Amino acid sequence: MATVTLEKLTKVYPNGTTAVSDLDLTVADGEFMVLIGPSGCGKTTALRMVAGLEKITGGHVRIDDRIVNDLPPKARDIAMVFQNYALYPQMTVADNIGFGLKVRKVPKAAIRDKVEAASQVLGLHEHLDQKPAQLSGGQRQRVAMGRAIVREPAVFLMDEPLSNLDAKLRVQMRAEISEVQRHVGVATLYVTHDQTEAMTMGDRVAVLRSGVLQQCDRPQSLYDYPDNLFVAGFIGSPSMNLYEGELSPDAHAVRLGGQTLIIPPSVQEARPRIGEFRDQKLIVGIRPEHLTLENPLEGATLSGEVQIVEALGSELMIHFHIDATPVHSDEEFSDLASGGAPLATHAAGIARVQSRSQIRAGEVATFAVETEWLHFFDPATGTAVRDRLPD
Amino acid sequence: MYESTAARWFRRVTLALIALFALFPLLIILLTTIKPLKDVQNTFQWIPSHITLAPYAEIWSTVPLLHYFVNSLIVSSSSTVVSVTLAVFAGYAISRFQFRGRRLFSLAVLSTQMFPGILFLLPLYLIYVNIGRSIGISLYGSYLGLIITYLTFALPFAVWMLAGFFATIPRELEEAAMVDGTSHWGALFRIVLPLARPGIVAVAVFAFMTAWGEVLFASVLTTQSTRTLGIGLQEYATSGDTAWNQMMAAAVVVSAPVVVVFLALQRHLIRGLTSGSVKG
Repeated sequence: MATVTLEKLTKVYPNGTTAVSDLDLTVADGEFMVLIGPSGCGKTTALRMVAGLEKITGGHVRIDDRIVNDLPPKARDIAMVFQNYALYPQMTVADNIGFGLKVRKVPKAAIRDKVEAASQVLGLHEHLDQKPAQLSGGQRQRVAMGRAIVREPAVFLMDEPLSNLDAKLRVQMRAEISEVQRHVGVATLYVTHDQTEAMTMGDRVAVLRSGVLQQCDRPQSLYDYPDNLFVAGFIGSPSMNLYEGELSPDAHAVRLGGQTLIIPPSVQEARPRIGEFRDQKLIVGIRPEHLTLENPLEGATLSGEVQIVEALGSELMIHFHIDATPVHSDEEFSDLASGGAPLATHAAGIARVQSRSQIRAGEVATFAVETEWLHFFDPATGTAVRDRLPD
Repeated sequence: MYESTAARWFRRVTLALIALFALFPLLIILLTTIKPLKDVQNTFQWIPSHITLAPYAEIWSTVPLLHYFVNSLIVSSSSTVVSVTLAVFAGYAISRFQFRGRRLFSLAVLSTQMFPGILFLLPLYLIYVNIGRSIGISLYGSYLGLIITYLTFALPFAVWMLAGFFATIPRELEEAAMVDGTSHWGALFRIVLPLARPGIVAVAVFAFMTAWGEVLFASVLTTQSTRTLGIGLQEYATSGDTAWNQMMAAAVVVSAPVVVVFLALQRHLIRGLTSGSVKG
């Protein structure tokens, strides 16, 4: 049982690339912390530095207040589950699970008992004498987990353990991993690029981009109050609609192309900083589910031409086009910051509505905007415009 | 695949003929070993008129075959053990670590394969003789000299092959072992080497066979006491009579160890152990 603390953790490769930059993170005892981000954002590198598989260039890793920078993996009291399982192919499932104990010279009887217990928890009892090659993907993943659990470590490290499983199995394993972690109560650092895993499994989620921490918060807070453009666009699927807008001189309304949205007073009060953008460009964000087809109110509507309607059974995804300039919250963001024009990529906004509507492509849809849920971002830096709302 | 009767028979006959062609010399050798010398020197007989096993007994006294056998065994085994051991560590280092000069080293190892072996004969001889004269370590006519010579053949090939082999073993296995509690050495010995067994065995067999059958360098770099089997066999042909039947018998006897070694180690060459340990 332990905490994990990353202090200004940095990794710079010999060729000069910075993979992780000044990462500060604390994982409490028993907490499930998810590290998420696009490919190449440094999340796996950070995890490997905690594991001791990657040399640390700067900063510290503490496990329970003890600095472990110079300790080899075996001395850090950690267990790791790899993306492609890394099971020892020449050993049986029982031997695989028990390997860590055998290496530490635990008596044979104790090993047998622990392996038994772990196999019961994970449903591997019938497979103990088989070799990894004879197991399915999900079973191999469970063996990898068994190998980690049985060591009763201070920290669990998991590197995208579900990304090699098919969708259905992933749903099942997500629940299993969460349950096992809760049962064992060990601090866990879990790396993934899958949002659903992050949102459903994490106690807290840390979003990384190009080696820099963007925001670390509870999943719902990340969703409702993203700190910057990147997090706003990254969390949530389909992603938030982002447009370039203009704030009115009195800061009561914002123009998107030819249309105007009135900002409710409550929203204004909650965002003191918005005053700085009077009569200036402002990036406006609206999540797809905050656009509905019911009861459009004056000053809180958005009309656009419908391009595609995707019927999902429980809801409709309406892809529409308005004449405001969309903002792509991706790596191209650096263009915005340096004064260049934002790249207009997929021009369609997306609205997520109830499926009773008969709307079709080519028609003009008028959406009611839930303006309490408007997000605003500084065009120069991408940071959210508000003072942080209390959790 | 559907095969017509005609095609099947054609295939069988062709393969049989090819097999016969390959085995024919072996058959002649075996026949020769059981004939008395006079019959051998006479016109060739398919079915021997006299059969004798005497040659198999005589070979040991006509020529000090046992002594040569021991020499070959010592030299071949030593060069095999040393080259495999060094190649395992070198190959592992090349495939796993980044270090300065890694690329240069790999290229150097590979480039040695470009040269025809015979080029090294004279230089090696001169080097050995000079070392013997200057430092006093006698390499010419010693086991050590021959072993070192065979190392120059076997080692580069072994390093290159094992480096490639280790590269196919996923790095995550060692990482998992190190997280589980082994040191880097532990991971190498407990996890990687068992998995690399097919490659190691292949390299060992290659090294052994190369050394065992080598004649050219042995003929130059050995003396009477260190002579190996390759040239030892030639001694059955004296200035007087050539004892063909004994020579053939010795050849059969000499080939036996290699065949035995190969058959014994064959099952270790079976791959397929790593499938299933890692996804994809």
